[in-house]
Amino acid sequence: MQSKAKKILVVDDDPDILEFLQVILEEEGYLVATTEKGEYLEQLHNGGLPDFILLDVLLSGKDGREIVKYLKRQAETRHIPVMMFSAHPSAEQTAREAGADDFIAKPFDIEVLLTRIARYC
Amino acid sequence: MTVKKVPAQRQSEEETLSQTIRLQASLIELAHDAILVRDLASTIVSWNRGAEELYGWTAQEALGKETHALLKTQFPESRAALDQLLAAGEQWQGELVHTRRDGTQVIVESRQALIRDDQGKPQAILEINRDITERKQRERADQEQYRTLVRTAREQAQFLAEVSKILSSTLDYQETLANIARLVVPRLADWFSVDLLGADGHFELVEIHHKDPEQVQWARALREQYPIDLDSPTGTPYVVRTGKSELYPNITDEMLVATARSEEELAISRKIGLTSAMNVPLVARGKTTGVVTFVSTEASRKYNERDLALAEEVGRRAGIALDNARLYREAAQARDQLEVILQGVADGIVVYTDDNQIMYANEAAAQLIGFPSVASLLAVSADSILTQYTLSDEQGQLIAPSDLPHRRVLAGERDAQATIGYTAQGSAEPNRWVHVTSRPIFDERGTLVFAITIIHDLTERVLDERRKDEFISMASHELKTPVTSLKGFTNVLQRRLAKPGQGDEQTLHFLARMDAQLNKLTRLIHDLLDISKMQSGKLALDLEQIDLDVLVHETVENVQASTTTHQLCVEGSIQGCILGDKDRLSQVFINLFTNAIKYSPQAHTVIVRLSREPERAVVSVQDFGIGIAEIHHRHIFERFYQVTDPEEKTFPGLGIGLHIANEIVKRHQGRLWVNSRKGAGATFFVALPLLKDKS
Repeated sequence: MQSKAKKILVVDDDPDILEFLQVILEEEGYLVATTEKGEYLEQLHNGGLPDFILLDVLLSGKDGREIVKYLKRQAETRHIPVMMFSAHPSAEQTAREAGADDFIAKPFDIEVLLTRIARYC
Repeated sequence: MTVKKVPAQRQSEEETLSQTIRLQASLIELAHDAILVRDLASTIVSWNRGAEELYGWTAQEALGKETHALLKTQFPESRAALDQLLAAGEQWQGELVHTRRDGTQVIVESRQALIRDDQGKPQAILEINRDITERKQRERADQEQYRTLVRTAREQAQFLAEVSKILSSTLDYQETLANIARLVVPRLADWFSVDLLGADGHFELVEIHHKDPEQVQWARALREQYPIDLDSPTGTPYVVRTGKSELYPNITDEMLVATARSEEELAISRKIGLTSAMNVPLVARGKTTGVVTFVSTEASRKYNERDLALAEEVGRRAGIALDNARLYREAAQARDQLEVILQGVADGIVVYTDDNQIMYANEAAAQLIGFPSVASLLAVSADSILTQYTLSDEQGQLIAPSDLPHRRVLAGERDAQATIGYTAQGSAEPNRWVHVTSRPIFDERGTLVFAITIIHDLTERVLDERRKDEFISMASHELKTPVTSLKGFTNVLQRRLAKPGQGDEQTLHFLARMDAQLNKLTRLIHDLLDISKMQSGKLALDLEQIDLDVLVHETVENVQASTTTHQLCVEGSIQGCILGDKDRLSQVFINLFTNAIKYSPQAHTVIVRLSREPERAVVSVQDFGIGIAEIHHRHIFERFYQVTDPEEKTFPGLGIGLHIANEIVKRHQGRLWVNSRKGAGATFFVALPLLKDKS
């Protein structure tokens, strides 16, 4: 079971959001890595690639949409599903245009989020 | 006089003749006229007493002299001509000029006759000369006087013509006065002044002229020192009081002494050296508005009645001209004041002629249209302005020149308005926003002559709105982030306590309430965002085909899940699709359902009815609560409207839910309305256009 556990990377600049997502996702059996820094994603290597990325649109000092564009340009990371989330109401369209596979508005119902993630993992 | 000898036989005859001749000789001697006889060589042979008296020579001195040499006769033509006439016609009559013994000249009326002997041979010339010098001089003087009169009259007429010409040449008050002054001085006077009666009853010296400017300054200073005595029985005050002129043909020192108010004034009057003066009224529209004064300081110029008549005429004409100048000045002032107002207003004002040329624009207009000054705006044609900017409306659509408000008015519209964004070349979006209103101006015949356009600057407001939108958008983001955490941790707790043996029912219930409240908070944040979007017309709909039965049932389930007090019952069905935004319509129904619950605290049921009309689907939501009084029906869909009945005070809210619902329905080409009475519950209806059935 452990070996089959999917790795999810959560990127958000709010530590509380990272914390509760980590708790819930781990309870759901995922391997969870969290980071407040968008730059982390640009240093992903083959060995440590996640199976799914949950990415905030507006990170402090970094635009999540630029990160998605980067990930979707790289051959190594192109296949990783990325779900973006934002408290910014008009972010969905631009997130999808940037290459996000899915989008969920903040605040969200945890059950809805889990159902959506389950589609990719 | 010599007499020829006669034969003795004719003695008695001769006696008689001799008597006759003696008588005649006496008569000749007695005559006043000069009577002389000259022979054919013009040698004087007879010279009476009259001749002695007229010419100064005695008979003794004159006899034997050649007539013309003695008297230095000046002939009308020539001596030969006179002699010829005498020879041919026997008699001649005409005027001659002779010189007396004392050298003076005398004009004589001369009658001359050729005397012949019995054989008809010319013998002598009888000449009777009457002194007409005095008569001639009188005649000449009369003629001279007549000529002078004619010349004066002509000069006066010419003068008045010049006055009129000057007066009509300008409407400038000061210039008019100065022009008259220059015309009058020195021709008619050495000093010329005009005093106008001010509104306060005092005189204002508006013009004083003398050939020497230094003298003028001195006179002005003098006037300030010695203002006109309004109670004076003579002079300017008298003329204004009576409207009558004053003529002082000869000003004597006694007169100066009598009128002077002080020694100094007297000294000054003497220094000016007045010799003659006239004060005439300045008349306009039957009223004396001032006094014109003509003063002579030359001994040779003494004013008479004729001068006064001329001066009065100058006063009349100047009065009319000054009145015209005053009216013009007032009109110009009014125009200038209006101009100041128009230039001062913040809105741009442009007047277009019927052929689309800019006739007037104020500074604000020039700046709003993007020109540094009115002059630079007027220098270009109305259409070329359009090439410097791209004009678009609020939706970003380009505005064609023919759709501009003033063009629409020129094309016949009564009131045309538009909100226009000006985008300068090289800019991505409008640099300036204006609201333009244009209306026609007609002449008395009802023909359109101008289109007047008011341009109101909206740039600040648009920027403000944009800043506000950005702020609300950011605020909503900032509010939602903590809600996300709260909701997330609440969900974590719910999941943990939901595991068997982990928690009690009550705790789970509390957590569910917390979650529901967080959802409500989220909706409020959304509402705030929506209202801002609606205000700026940015509420975008994501349209898709919707089965309304499904959407309503889903929404009812969601709302039912968060209420324990009411039962939501759905009746009927639509069985049709509409085109709409699923989330937005769901928002409308959530609002209506939660309102129904909120405002019927004593009831337990909300009935949702689905029905179908030929063209539209109707969803109604009925509650059995407090109801809404008729007077509020019209207003409850307005933004921030709150029913203010005392009872309803216990139902707080932002007053935006129904407004948002109504706006969303309107954007779906639908209608939202209410049917309610106070205390009798309320039924809200949503009607939406149905998509045409494909079958």
